[in-house]
Amino acid sequence: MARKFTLQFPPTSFVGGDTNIPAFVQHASTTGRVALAFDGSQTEGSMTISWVMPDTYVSGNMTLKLYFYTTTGDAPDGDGINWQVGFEKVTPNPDNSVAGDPLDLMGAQGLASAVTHTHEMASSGTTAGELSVAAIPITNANADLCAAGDLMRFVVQRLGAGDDYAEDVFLTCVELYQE
Amino acid sequence: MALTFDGSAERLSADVSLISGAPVTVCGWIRPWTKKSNSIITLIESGDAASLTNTSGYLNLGPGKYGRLDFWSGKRRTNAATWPLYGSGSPAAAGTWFHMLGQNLADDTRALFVNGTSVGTGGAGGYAPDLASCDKIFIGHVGVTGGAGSGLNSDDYTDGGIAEVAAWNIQLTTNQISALAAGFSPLLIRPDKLVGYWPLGGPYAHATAYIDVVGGNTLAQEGSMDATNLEPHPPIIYPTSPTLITGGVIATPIPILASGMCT
Repeated sequence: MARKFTLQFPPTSFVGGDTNIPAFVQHASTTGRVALAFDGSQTEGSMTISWVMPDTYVSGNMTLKLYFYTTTGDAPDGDGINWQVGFEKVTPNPDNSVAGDPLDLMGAQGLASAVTHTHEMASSGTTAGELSVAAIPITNANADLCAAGDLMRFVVQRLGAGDDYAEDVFLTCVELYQE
Repeated sequence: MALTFDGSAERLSADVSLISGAPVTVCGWIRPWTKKSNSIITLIESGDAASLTNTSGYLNLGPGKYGRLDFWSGKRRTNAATWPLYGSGSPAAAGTWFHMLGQNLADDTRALFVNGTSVGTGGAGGYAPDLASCDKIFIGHVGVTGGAGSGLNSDDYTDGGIAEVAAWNIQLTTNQISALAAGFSPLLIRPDKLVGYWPLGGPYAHATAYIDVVGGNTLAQEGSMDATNLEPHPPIIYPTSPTLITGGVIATPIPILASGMCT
């Protein structure tokens, strides 16, 4: 099915938060692979920079794909990896002459209810360090009832303390699209 | 391109009170060419700047004149056990980029990291630092003369390249320090607590613009800084905007900061 739009977020478009932020890492430095390392023992999360929902967005479902790999030396056979995402939208006033949504962008955030997703790794044959993709359905309600033209952010968290895999998981790209 | 300092009189400065005290973290890349007071960044109480004996309003990061890698806060020094620039003539490490990071967390709690690794903590003697009184910044100059063995000589100026100088008003974690040493831009590391960032090259402004990307404390050149003295920037990974694709067409990225890697 043709996509209405695709937004691709590299790890360097995530700018953290104030606590339990995944660390930036660079693997295979000669080729410069960059990732965010989410810990296996606690919840860590990072927020995107602000972006604008494309004009081609139509109220409805989207898909968020997390491209990640696991720690070398510890195959995640049969492990469930727990992800959580939360969206924030801020609607500008149509004529831009007065403030839109009553959200203090300097001092507050307004995330919609988080979406949790357990990515079940294959029970055998998984290889540490190889790419996995978690596809998370995002409804319009999950996306904070957003519309085209809204100012958006989302946070990606790994609920490391509660999932099956004890090691770091490395997020190397995020894709958000609508079909 | 990064900025090259000639080791004779060139430095950058601004009259600004950047921090109110501990905790503070400063870092930068330096490529020293000779064994001398190769300072990256200095915060100093300008009224008492003639000698370190006069002021506890002092913070400095950089290779000292004996070839050590030093971090000063107040009159206390933390240094690495190995002295990579020690020796006469041209030291073996001359021309090597080092990432240095110093943290002053409390009166007697300091830490120095080189290339992401902790190389020293603490350091006895002297007085508690009074960093709130620092009202001037130097890049490329230690700013004061210290006692024998201090390695601080105000007649010495940095001889080498400096890039990606930054300051935060928090303690960074070891993972965040490792990321900086791996080449991630300070803009990706606790940007909410970043109080000064002088890239001195890279994508944001020409090296000779001397701008502070986050704090607006643009530096002034002194010592007839030669704007043609530039050298390759260390490889740095900068913040990136998302890419939008609609109808099979890649749209212009949302213009937030700069993208990708820059050398």
